[in-house]
Amino acid sequence: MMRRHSDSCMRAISRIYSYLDGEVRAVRRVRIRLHLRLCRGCERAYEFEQRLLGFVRERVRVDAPPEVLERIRRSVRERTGR
Amino acid sequence: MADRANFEREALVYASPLYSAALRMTRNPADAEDLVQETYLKAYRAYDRFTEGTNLRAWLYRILTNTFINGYRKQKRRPREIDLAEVEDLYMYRKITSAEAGRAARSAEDQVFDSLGGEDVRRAIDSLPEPYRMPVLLADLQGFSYKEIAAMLDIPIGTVMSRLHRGRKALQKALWEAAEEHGLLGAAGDRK
Repeated sequence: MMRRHSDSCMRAISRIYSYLDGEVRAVRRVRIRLHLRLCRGCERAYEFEQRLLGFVRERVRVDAPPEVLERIRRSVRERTGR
Repeated sequence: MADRANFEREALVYASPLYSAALRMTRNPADAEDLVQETYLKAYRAYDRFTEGTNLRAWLYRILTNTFINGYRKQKRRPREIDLAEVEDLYMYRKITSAEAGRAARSAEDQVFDSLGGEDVRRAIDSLPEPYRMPVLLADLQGFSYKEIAAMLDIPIGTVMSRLHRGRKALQKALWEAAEEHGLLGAAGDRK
């Protein structure tokens, strides 16, 4: 649990998604990484969010059924005249 | 300039992931298949304008997204608001850490993840109103950057970020409710 609510914790948590999405600039990224190394509470929260994102991505993926893929392929071929 | 003769070879490898995304957009297998077919037809027609060496995958998703927004969605453009009162950042994490009340953190976490199946996650995504669902799909499921999503949805990057933020919160709330329905957390403490 995040018991210590220091300014750097608040900053780290507010940027958690930008950081995980790789959308944080280099300097800030280094600062966050340093904070996570020092703050177990924030590090755990980050690990959880990262795990959740990976979990959602993995669980949602649906492979197209072969017959659906075949119909898509066929329709592309018909249009491309090949 | 891309050569149409290569279209089939270059573009068809994305058929399955495009279908997976289309299914979460339309929430209906028949519409998803039509959407992917229409996407390929449009992409083929425009292929000579596609610049070779740039990101073909992102280009195809952009066409998919536009085709969906312009033709398939049934609701109006104005975002339906989602009720996120009392849904704070790190919603699930806070719920888990408070439910576990001093027990080993990982076990409560594992319990939650183990209790959620693909159907729960898909239903949670499908429950998001479209303006929030689209950025979540494109970022979390397809891994596109904020900038790419902004271009695909034709909205400013700031709007991508705020919708993604709200969409993810709503998703966490829906997932937590699904986990609660499975009853696995009831044993974790005296909540409720």
